Amino acid sequence: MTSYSRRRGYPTPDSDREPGNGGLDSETLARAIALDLDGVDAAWPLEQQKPTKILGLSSNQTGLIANDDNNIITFTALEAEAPTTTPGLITGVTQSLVTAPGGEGWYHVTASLAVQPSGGITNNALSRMILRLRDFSLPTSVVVERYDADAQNDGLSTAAIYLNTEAVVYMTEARQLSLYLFHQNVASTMNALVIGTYLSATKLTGVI
Amino acid sequence: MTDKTATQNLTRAQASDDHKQLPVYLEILRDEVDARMTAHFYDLSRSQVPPLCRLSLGTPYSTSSDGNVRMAYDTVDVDTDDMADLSRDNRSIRLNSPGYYSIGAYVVVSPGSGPPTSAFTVGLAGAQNAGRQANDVGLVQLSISVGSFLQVTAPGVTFQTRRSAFGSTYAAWTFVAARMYAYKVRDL
Repeated sequence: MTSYSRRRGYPTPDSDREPGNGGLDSETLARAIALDLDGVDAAWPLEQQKPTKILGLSSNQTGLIANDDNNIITFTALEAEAPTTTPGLITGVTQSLVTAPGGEGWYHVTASLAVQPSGGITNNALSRMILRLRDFSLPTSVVVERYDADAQNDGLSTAAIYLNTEAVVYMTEARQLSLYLFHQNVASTMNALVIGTYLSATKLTGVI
Repeated sequence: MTDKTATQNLTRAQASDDHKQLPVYLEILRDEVDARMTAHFYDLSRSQVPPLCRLSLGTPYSTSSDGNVRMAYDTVDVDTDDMADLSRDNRSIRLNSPGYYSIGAYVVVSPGSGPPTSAFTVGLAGAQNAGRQANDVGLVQLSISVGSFLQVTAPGVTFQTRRSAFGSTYAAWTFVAARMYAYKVRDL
């Protein structure tokens, strides 16, 4: 392992023996090192350094929601991505999935969705958000896990419906998360306004 | 990491040191810093595998409508800290290391036949109480997730998934899927 102090560029005993460094004060140096190390301590909440990716919405989206479970949510904002070695979301380009930002391992994933019906709803309409984890290394891109969230609309108002879910899942390079919206007990289509949505993945561990 | 600061107990220069002793002091300090940072990096590496556990219900089962029952699980998907022992207790995750934990559960229930007037709740019981409710709208599956944080100051804290139904009574509920997890976020 490379010497930490050497990598930090501190003087070494050899260089200190060179003439002309008489102004180097050991207490000053000790304090400088202490400041650096205290900085390491300050950064200790390591979860802040975990590979993370969060997709969001830059503006409301409106459209007809079909009465099936294939209404995929498209994201238009990259809220956070670390590390940035994987292709990110480019301005003006939508994205509908999250890949493992830190490679294979266990991840904490969350999804939320706020949708406002604007027409076509019927009594006891059920809105369902579906978080699907697909594995594209398998022949038919099998959904290996899914996490749903349900909310009921009374059919009388067009108040927003809020849905969210979270889970701990195992992701690989070939596994991708995507989010869908499904309306049941409604007319063939429903006008809806997606007013907020997030999809995130934070790495917990590598391969165990 | 146990030290409050990374510089604790490092050798400090003394006022009596003369200039010629500076290289010696720097060498000592460099070695101490390297040793400390090596240990620190070891801690970082070790933290890549925090206490983590996930339980699943692999085989759906049906039960009569009842209240405030704790879910049973049949599969351990991952366990890095001896947090699950289904032969001893198939309802609990045990938190063996002090720290702050993220905990949660997810349950999918099919209400079977009956009037769509019941509500179903899923919560975290034991050391934590948190929950979420969904109303049945008739003959469709209900999916509920719940999550929270938990402070564990002494080993051995357990928590469970609590579920209950109320309103109209159904002949039977079928639990289609369920998962429960816990992972340590950081030290206290």
